[in-house]
Amino acid sequence: MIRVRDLRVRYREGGRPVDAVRGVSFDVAPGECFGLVGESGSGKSTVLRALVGLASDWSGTMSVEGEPLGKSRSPRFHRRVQMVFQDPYGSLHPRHTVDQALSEPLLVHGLGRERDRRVVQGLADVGLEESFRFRYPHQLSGGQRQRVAIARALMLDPVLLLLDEPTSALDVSVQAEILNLLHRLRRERGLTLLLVGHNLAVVAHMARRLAVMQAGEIVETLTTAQLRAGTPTHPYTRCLLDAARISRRRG
Amino acid sequence: MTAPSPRAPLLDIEDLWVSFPGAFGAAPVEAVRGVSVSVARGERVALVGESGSGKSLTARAIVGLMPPSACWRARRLTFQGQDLAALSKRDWRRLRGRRLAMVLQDPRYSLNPVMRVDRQVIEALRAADPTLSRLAARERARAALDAVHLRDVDRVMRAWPHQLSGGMGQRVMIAMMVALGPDLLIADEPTSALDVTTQTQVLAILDELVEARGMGLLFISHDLPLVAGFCDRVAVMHAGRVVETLPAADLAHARHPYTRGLLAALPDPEGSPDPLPVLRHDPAWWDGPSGGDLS
Repeated sequence: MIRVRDLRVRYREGGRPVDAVRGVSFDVAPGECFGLVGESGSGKSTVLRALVGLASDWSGTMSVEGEPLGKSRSPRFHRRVQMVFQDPYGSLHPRHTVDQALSEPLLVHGLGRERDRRVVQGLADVGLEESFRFRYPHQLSGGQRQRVAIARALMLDPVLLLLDEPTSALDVSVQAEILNLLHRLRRERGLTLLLVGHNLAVVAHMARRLAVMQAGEIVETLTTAQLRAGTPTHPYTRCLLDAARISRRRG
Repeated sequence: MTAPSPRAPLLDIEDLWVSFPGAFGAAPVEAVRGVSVSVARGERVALVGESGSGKSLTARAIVGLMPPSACWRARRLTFQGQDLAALSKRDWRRLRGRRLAMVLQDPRYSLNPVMRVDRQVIEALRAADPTLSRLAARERARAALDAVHLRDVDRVMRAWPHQLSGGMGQRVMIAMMVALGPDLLIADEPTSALDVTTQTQVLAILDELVEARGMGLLFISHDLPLVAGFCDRVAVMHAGRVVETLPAADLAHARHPYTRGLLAALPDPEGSPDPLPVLRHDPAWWDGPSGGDLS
């Protein structure tokens, strides 16, 4: 589904170039959930941005569904690949209703005729009632907002979802609901997920395989089975794992 | 954990209520409903809960920084035996920063963006102790920043807040607050904005202050696993009330269904990939028995 080889991304900060991603390679199989774990500044979100076409200065090769990615993305790509951001309050337009947010991708892609049916269906798919349709983002809770953001990403029936810290702005109980929702959607629709996060426990819960990033590089790629068996080899992975289970040892 | 301490509590809150006037003549909204909690010297007490549970308002009531529209009352709100409700503004200024300090979540909003770090720390030190000379204050600022294990203290002193990383900024905040050796530090989500490795370092600094100086720490957090490993006692808040207070080491055996639900909803790096149990809020928790402070 995704193939990335020797991806390098550079951006400018205050005039000097910063190498945010320094030679990253990984593959994601169709229907798989693959995780990218790292701390802030590790380059994990930049990988997502490069994939979806939001980074301009990159080199290496990337392909999605066998189609090599160039400097721009086709409309078809944007139908097939959708992104969900960390903070739904930032990614939903504050003066657009849920209906407008969900309709926009349809209108952009010339699918406006089916709008009513698809918006109602889209809400149902993420467990929201029809009564949410004409609400504004500020009238929703954090979890409901993230459900709307996921519904919007699903409006065009994508095959690949890029998830950038989708639950880190949410309370623990709400996080569990959203993770379960993503789990169900992946199973029902055969979605491929690329999940980026700083919380190893969350990513390991969702993904079968994950890559640990540090300072723009992947330091280790392992399966969650290997993680559970306690065989991460890189010290940084072990450090993250220790932090994730700190309470379970002491408590 | 050891048995509850026989020492008199440093901070003692009993039956704290905070409410806000309802919009358009509606009934007042009660955000904190009868919270009781205490912190002893050298004790790490966690106040945990999800957003809207009233934990930050409780903290603000202790430092006397309530939103202007809030109404509050408490049967007891004492710090070192002193009634906080009876303090004048002048008394408050004398207390806050010197004996009672607070660290907030995000250094980006707590540090003055247009003032270099050295000036901010020196200002804080001299505001708390006007007899301190500029030179002596600078030396103390340096020592304070050194104590929180900032590597290049000279560079940090000269830096603007935007030139610091989140972890460095948070350490500057902690250095400022603890420089005068407060007896009680209230830390409101001090590590939530930080990466796990930085978080570990910041917790180690707080730990050191508790151990070395006998400082009391009220640690406000939404992160149950974190406080289970770090604190001595945990008070769990839900909908403005403390539903359960228990030794942190016993958190895994919490009795209240809300606490148990929160713990179950946590993904475990070594757990199964099955769907997570979802917390169902029970209206009975709203008014059920509240968890008394066991100390």
